[in-house]
Amino acid sequence: MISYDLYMVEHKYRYCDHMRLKPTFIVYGLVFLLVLGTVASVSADILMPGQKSTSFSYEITNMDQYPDFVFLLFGGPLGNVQLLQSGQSFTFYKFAQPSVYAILESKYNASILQMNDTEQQLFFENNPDLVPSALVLTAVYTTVPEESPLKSSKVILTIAALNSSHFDLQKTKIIFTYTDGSTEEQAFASPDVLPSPSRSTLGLSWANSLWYIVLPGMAVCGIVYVAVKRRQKP
Amino acid sequence: MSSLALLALGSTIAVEFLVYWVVLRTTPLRLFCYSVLINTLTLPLANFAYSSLSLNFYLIEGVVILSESFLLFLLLQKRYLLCLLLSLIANSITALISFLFLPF
Repeated sequence: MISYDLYMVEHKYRYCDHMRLKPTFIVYGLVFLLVLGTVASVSADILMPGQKSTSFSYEITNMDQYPDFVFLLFGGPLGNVQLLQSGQSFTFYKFAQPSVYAILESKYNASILQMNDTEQQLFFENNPDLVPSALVLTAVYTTVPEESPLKSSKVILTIAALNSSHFDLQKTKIIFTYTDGSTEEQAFASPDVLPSPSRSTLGLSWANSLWYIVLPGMAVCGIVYVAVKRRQKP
Repeated sequence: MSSLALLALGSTIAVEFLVYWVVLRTTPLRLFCYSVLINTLTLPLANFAYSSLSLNFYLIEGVVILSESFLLFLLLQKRYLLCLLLSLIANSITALISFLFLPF
């Protein structure tokens, strides 16, 4: 329908010097933009050309020092409750921002894991027995340039202090694993500053040079050539 | 440059060509060449802006729509408003297709 209307607009243009676009066409355009904008809210979730996905995980190293407590991970979106196990790493949806909660084992009820999303939300909002850590966890290095040798990242967390009313969880280091199997550890200087893998890719490979420089350069030459040729025509 | 990038470029060229052709109904070969030229210029640069410079999606899409409208104006020698609308429709469709088919 839109195409037909535009065809008619173009058709009119051939015979009328003062063609004006009807407001309905502009409305169609705005509707397109609105739809685009709505869908674009998830655009960051798309793997773009030139990038690859890498996995990430977290692990709390000293959970076994607190045998009286059970540790839970919770926080949306798309983040159901996870029961954290000592010595095991865990991961979550890359746009979730969960936190770790501790609860005395004597007050823990395993049925929380079977609850639906709403019930879990209520449980975490209204439970005085839960001790939340202030640390909000985020996904790290989920996408990197294709040329990067990075394969996965694991953030190591340490419980600095924990009692029935206070839970201090800290980031201590990050372990990068590369595609050749080697690993690299880097300590967190500050919880807000994420260390970078030293073997990250800088500079352009020949393929990226072709993609980002040669192809657009050739296109510019072609466009200039066509535009000049067209203007030279009587 | 990956096979995914080439697929994105090829499908964008094809879809935008179809939009140009359905709307303008002029020489298909010429319109296809214009689609190749325009998208070979804008897609890699938009890709770079998004993946390496981490610029805002809306900003990139807006700049691409305006740039392509100007390039269409240069190449087609039609009224600018028509070129702008063509660019808006073509880029909206390709963006929607990419959302539907690119891997998450």
